[in-house]
Amino acid sequence: MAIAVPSDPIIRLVFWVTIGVLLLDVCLLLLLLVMRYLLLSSTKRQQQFLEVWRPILMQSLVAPPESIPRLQKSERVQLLSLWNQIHASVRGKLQDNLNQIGLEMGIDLMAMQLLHKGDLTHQLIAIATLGHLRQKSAWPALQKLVLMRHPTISAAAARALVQIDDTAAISWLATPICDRIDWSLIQVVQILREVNLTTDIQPLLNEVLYASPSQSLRLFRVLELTHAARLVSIVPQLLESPNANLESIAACLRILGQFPSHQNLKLARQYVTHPSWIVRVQAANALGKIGVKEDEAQLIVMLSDRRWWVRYRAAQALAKLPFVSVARLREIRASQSDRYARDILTQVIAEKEVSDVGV
Amino acid sequence: MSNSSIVNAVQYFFLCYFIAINVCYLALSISAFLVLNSYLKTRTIGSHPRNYLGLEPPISILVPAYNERAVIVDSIYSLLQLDYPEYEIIVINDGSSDRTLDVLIEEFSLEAFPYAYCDRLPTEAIAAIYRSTIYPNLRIIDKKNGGKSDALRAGINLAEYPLFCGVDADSILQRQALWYLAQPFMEDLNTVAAGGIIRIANGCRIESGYLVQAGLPKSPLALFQVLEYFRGFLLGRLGWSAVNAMLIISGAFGLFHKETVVAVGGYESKTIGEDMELVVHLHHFLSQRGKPYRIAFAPEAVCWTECPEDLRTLQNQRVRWQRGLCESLELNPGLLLHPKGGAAAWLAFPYMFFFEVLSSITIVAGYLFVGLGIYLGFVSFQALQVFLLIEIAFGIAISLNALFLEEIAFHVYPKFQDLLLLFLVAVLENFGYRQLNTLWRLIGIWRWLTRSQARWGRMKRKGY
Repeated sequence: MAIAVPSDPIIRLVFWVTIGVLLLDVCLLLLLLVMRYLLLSSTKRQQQFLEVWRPILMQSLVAPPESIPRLQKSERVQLLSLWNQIHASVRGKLQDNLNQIGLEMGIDLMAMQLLHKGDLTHQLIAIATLGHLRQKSAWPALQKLVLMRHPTISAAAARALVQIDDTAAISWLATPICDRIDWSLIQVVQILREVNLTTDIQPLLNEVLYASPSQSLRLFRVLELTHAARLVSIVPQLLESPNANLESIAACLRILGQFPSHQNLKLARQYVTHPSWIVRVQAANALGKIGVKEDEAQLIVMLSDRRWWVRYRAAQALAKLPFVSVARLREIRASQSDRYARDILTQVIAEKEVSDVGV
Repeated sequence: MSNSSIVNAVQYFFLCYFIAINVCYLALSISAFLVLNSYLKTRTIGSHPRNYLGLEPPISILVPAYNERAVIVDSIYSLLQLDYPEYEIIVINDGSSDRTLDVLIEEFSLEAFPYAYCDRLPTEAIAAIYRSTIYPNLRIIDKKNGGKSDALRAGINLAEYPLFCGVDADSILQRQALWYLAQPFMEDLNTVAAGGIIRIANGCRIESGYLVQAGLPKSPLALFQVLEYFRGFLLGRLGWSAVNAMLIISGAFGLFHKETVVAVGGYESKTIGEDMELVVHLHHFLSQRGKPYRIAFAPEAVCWTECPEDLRTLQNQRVRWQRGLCESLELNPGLLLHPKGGAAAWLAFPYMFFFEVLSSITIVAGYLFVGLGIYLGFVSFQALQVFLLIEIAFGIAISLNALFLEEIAFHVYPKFQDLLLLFLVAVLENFGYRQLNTLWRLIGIWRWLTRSQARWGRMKRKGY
């Protein structure tokens, strides 16, 4: 049956566009089918690969395997990927054993090849491998990658450098870690988690002290998670800094509350009447953790704060003080003329009673 | 002006509109592909860390419940098993008349607790607040009926954590969904909201509140919706998120920065589309103040939901969505072409107005024009055939684009025949289903214009 091509120019144009779109539809369908076919066959291959190699790598965690099958060239990326997955799920000696078998299979050479020739995904696998292997020979190549614009590649390379030699890496990476705001907080946490707790991180602390307020706060937040104890030393300087803003003061108070000392307590007390409720909340939190008998009166005053969160944290702080019992909390409640203070104490007393009985 | 030049002008108008709408779809497809492609390339090793980072912000999950007795217990059990370090669940019983509260009290051993409730956002009266004696992170608010937005406001008032996640009582979250949804907040401190992907649970195997196996539904209506959700989330949300212009986060699964939401006054009661209104309002509020912000889409944060399988319920849902869209735009006219509004003001808002609100009117007008044209003889039957064919061809192309994105990233439905079935659906939906949707959207616009009483339609559930 012949198709009659319309004579009207507009209709004719629409007709040919329609034919074009229908052909596109057919092409898309074929593409989808091919993709699904490739997916199913690659899943099957992956399954076969895992059946062979997973037991070998798992066994190598405890003892060298008796024999290692020959690795096909097409299986290299799969092997590196599996090796990295297992590496990320184990610790200590098991990682060393995995490194040993990895080196015997030559995955360091495979990774170096992929680092230079592979696409983005392959490069990321190669970087992770070199980091896990603590491959010192890869240091210059990884340094170059840190300077790349692509945030995922550069952050992964920075992490690998830290895994290889954290002291050397921190002195070289301190500035990029602070300046590269394109590295997500997740990536920075992953980098700094690799830094040993005893490693000298003064270059990073200097960045916190002298960077712009937003960059300083960002780095502070990460160090709070990874190296909180090291931050205490710079908190007084940060609080006195002309750049100190509400968020950085609140962050400093969070740190002070974790480390009881007379000096930290003195500092925290200075902020209980701060105009910002965000700061008062953290001051109350800090007093709850490191406060002493003298702080009870101030916390009672804070029960009548105009902000609910300050009242709540002050009541919780009172309840946390080791010398304040439920009976004492009831006494304080009975002495309050402010309804909000009574209400918040009623809630916190009930919470304390529940936690005391272990629910 | 002669009759023929009027007819020509009208023809050109429809043609230009048709080209414009498809150019937009094409642009969204390209944008979505670029986002997804870059996301996939970097999702190599351990995108979800085995160990928590410590960076995960604590989250309050808010579950508004109105007559949800049949599903609420399973839903809460599934929420209690989420893979996330610190979160609480607040169920808001919005004056249910079906013993929802009794079921909750019995199942979770609830007891009244003297919370110092802080009513920062106004709500209907709170009758009582309960806590579970079994699960310390589960609380229930019992309040007078005030609608979904009112229930969510009450939940926000009680929420203890900096982020809150609105979840529908019949939704099933994938175990790691909350972690993926919180990821944009961990990556960028300017993130104020994030939406996840909603998938259709009909046809899936669900056990103990968990999705065990994904499968396509048998009902044709549900199948059409599977493809619609692909288009809506993989093309629409993902495409707009590339330029920070996503105007919709589904009420079934969205994560928000609590203080920012309180600053804009919380969920709006005046609209039936409170989820969309909130996001449009956030864009408006933050861009007006020149604050840097991000509203993100998390493609791996998956929430499964049961879709309607009967025409009446589906119609109610679609009418409500369309009306919600109109109301959301109407309540935030200041965002349209706002100098500081970015792509949300200059692209997404006009797109929503011209192509989501007005398209149903234009399409129906187009059908009437062609019908009249054939009757009066100024449109040939051949022209009608060609125009219908191009509409179908483009309709299939858009659906296949969405299927393509699904295939490169997620391939949730693994069988070969699933793919073929979805292709068949992409063709068949053009013969009746799309037209029905257009009609329902027109009804939605009509109800918005006439300010008729807005109601939450009752969802007929088959259950999981």
